[in-house]
Amino acid sequence: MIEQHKKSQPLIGVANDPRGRAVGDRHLEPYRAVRIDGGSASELVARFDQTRPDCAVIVLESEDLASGDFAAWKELRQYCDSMHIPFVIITGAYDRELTGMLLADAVLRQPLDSSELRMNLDHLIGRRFRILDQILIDPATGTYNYRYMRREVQKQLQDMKRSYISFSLVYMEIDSARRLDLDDRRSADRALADFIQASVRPMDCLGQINGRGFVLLLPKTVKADAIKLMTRLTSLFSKQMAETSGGTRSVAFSAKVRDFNDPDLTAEECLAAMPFSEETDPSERAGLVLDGTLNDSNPHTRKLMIAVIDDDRLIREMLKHQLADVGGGRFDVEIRDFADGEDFFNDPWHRQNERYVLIIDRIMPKMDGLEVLHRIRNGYDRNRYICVMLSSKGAETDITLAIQRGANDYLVKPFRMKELRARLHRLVGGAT
Amino acid sequence: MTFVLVFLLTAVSLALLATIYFYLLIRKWVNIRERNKRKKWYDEHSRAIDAFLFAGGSADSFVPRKKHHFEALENTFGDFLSNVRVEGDFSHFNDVMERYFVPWYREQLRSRSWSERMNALYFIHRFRLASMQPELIRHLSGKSCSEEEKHEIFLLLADFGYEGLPDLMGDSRELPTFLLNELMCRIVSQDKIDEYVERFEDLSAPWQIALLEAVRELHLRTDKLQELLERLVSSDRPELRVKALKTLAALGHLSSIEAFLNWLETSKKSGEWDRPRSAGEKLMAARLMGSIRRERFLPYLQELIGDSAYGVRAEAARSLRQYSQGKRMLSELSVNHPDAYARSIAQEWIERNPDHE
Amino acid sequence: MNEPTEIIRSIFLIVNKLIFVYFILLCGFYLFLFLLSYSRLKREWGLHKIEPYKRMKSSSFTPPLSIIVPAYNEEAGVIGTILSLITGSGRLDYPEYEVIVVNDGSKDETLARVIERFKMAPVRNKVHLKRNGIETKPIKEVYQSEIYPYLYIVDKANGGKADALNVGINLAKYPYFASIDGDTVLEPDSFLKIMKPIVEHADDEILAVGGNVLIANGNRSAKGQVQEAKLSRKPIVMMQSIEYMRAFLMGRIGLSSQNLLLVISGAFGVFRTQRVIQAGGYKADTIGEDMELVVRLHRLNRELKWGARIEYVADPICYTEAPEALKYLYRQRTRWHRGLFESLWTHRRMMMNPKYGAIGFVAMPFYFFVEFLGPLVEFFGYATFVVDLLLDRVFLQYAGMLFALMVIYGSFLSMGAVLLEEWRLSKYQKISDLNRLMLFALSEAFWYRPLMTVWRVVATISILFRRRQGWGEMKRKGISA
Repeated sequence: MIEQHKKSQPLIGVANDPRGRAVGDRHLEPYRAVRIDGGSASELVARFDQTRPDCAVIVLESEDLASGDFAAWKELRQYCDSMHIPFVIITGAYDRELTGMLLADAVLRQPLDSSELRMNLDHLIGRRFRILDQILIDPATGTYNYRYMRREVQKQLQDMKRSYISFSLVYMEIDSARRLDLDDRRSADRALADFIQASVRPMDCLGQINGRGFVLLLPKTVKADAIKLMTRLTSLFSKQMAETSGGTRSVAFSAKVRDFNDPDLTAEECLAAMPFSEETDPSERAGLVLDGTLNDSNPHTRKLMIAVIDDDRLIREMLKHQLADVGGGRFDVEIRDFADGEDFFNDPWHRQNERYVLIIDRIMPKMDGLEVLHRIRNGYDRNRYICVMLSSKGAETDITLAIQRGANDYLVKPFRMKELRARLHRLVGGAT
Repeated sequence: MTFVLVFLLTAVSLALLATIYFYLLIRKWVNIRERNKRKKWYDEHSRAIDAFLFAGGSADSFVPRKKHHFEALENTFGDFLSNVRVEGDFSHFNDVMERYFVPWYREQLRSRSWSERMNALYFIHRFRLASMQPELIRHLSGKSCSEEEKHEIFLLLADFGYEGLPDLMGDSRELPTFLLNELMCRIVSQDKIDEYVERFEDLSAPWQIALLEAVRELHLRTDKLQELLERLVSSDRPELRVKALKTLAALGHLSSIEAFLNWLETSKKSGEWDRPRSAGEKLMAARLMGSIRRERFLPYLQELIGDSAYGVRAEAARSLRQYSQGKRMLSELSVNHPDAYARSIAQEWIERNPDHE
Repeated sequence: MNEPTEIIRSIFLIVNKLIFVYFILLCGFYLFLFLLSYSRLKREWGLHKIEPYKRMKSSSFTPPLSIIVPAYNEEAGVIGTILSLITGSGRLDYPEYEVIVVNDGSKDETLARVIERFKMAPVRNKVHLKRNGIETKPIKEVYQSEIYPYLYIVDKANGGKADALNVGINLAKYPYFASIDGDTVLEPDSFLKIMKPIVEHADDEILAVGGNVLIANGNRSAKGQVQEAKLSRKPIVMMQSIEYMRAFLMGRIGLSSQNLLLVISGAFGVFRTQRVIQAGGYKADTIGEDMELVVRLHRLNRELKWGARIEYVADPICYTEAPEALKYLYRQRTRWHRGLFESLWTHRRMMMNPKYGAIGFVAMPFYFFVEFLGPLVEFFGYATFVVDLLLDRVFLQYAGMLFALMVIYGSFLSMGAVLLEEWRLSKYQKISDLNRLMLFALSEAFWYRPLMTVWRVVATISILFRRRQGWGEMKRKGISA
């Protein structure tokens, strides 16, 4: 029987005259077929666009053959080609030239043999599905499709487990898309796709995920930067004029931006969170850039281990107190203090599979801050251990030395508490 | 007769020793008691003190009244302040200092013991009690004010930004170089430097040197300053030349390469540079030619790398290394230079990194 | 009474009187030094221990320092020593310095241990050939630590302490260098303290600075820092502590205030690099190379009219390990005495020479007649005392007086030194420690001093017969646990 593919769409049967239609109806009845009467090329393409069929079955009669005007059919054929829709012709008269020019995937001659038709359809549709499974490009817009985007987002989440670098997703839709006619819509979409792809970095990727809007993946980008980018792009795009059926006018798009820094999410969840929610009225969107995290509830908190290594009791106590809330609530902070480097390394606490921030005093007895730094940088995961040095030595060579040895930051005593907090905040990837 | 004297001498010395011994014993006992009192008081209040320092809690529970209270707090606060800069968010701290410590130090300044006065000054400095400026100025003119106290007060006033400082200092004797340098660093700033540049000739010699040191230390840059420095390179006082070159090298800018090149030529030709005493000048010139890199400097550097003074050779090699073709040039020199010491130092600097040394 | 006996008696009486006068003068002189020290110490007595140095620590005008540590067979303690130099407490450590350890051809694991502990890698092409540098034995390799880039170790063929120091001086890049013994233990603020005169008197040229050395035996130390000051229970060690107190508090402070100091302890001293190179570095084949260099610096100071000073810092600045067994103490003291002689002899031209000012007229004679020949006179004193006891009443009187004087000179002065030190530092927590020190100081004249005197007389005699000895091997306990 007919394979019901998960996302299977109906077939379309096209016929120009009543007899063809009858033929079509009779044979295509077992399949879920939509019948289209003939029309101009653009009408046909529009209907196809709307319906997104799995196969096109064209019934051609001798009259059509005779008329010799294949331009329309040819356009339809090209469209089906680009969308990987099998093009099947059912015809009574056999005209080599005709069929040759249309390059159908299968030509079936009347009288039609049902089983032959079914075999062909199964085969062609099966092939279509296999192709669709493989390709990563969305044929309509030339951008990546959902599968590809999902794969890319998954890669980003994997990376994030190790590097703690966040990425952003941007969802874009042409404004008043529903009010444009299909042709205009398609050309607007394509214009938008081209525009975006020309304006972003090679590592960013643009894809189609739900047929209405685009999703743009921006690796290594925080929300603030993404918002800035989209604001610029929306205003640039709206200045471009586009040809529409209603005359030349400007088209705009709106965007919704989210950044992600929780590697425990799945790619599907990330993408599902992107499209505009029902709350925003489509007609009100005009070149809007939204911050998508505002409606989030219960942000996920991650654990952060802070170690203060200083031989001065006062500093240890003070920092323990002052740094307990670093990260502004996005982190579950655990602070420990150590009087010297040896205590720190001897304590198994420091070896857990979490993220650490070490605040190290540069000059200490027994094991100097430099040595602590050396050991951390030569034996532990560089990304998981952030090292900040505190010292009263302010000489340039000393600062260069510490940074060259791998300190993420260096503060000279006396330091400002606010400054230390701000720097730590930035180093742990705090939200701005 | 002498026998009796000697006997007396022995007896007296023994008695003296015994007295001192017992005195020290008592003193030790007193000191231990003091220290215990201090420790006890501190331990009693350490939670409150910690809370005060870290979280801005109230200071009422540990108001210091006696000497050992102050001493206990001095150490803790002093430690705290060397680590954390106290600013807007720690204003409660300043209030407490004003209310309790200022009167205490005012009293200490009047003490007859030099060390107590000095200690008071040190802590006034550490706690930045700017409101005591009038007392400090008064103290300067007091008759018991020693040189060390004067120096400390000058530094204090400079830190607090007291405007009339240069006048106050004018009539005192020669100040040690270290002090002058430290003072200058505090007095001049990006805004004020031009004033001093204009008055440069009027300043006394040690002040001029100190000014150059401060400029270099603070990395001050203005056009007038640049002009002055470049002018000083051809001064007839060797000390000024050396310091000017050193400062220019640290700042890294020359408005006119031509003028400098001319000066190099003249110095070489005049034979001034053949004297051993101009090693310092040559060294600084070499350093400048590494800080500012121009192709026309290369022949001079290549000559200086063969100089008779080790310091000059090392500096020339270091400077050459900083050029983009540095490694290659040094390799060539390590083979081709006629002087063995030059070859050796060129060889050394091929591997060394000028940024970290 | 026959004539020869009369003559002998008269001569002997004169001898008695001479010795008597000698001792009186000596006591008077020391008392004078004592008072000089006291007046200088009194002023600074109550001064806070930390605050005055904080400015030096944070200023960029504090001159940088090269620290040179010669090491020979120091595998037990060298790591501790190096740690005490490069780590610190963050409070009063020196701002800018480098540490150059010189491995003088050790036969043990000194070099290997240091390389391993501090991850040292060879530095290629480091220049050790300066045109006007000091000649030394050849260097095998220079290593630099990957953790602490300002820590170096130089491997060279054995050449003695002076040669090792000279190698370090050649490599030193800073205007001042500090020479340290392999087993010296320093406090974190030792360098700030010893450099204080240089910083404060930047206008006077300062050639060298010495400081107070204390005994480390009995102190508990961990990883190179002295943790607790405890008095050792061994009599020999206690006597040495007392000796050190006496020498430093009275002799050195007093003399240095007049720029007459001729000795800076090899355990810790700071010198001006350029001048030492100019002077030719440490003399290699001499025993007391520390003293010889200082004397030579004084000499060149006058001859070349440098107008410089040699200063001394009263604050205790380092700890050293004192020999605990009599055998090693004997070797040490003999070595010192011979060193003293050699330094004086090498520069004998300065003695009583007006060209050298007070050095020639006061310092050199003092060191010669008091420090060097003193033991001989003291020995004669003991002998005379004994003989006096065997004679009649006149001589008994002299015996009594000599006895009293020797007790004053030997014991009372030492007790005074102990008290002075206690007044100044209040170091020992327990009163029983102070008592013990006083008792031992009191006993000095009765056993310790005579012992030292005898040893030094023996040394003097052997000098006259020119026998040579090396560094002497002292069994190293190692300071750090």
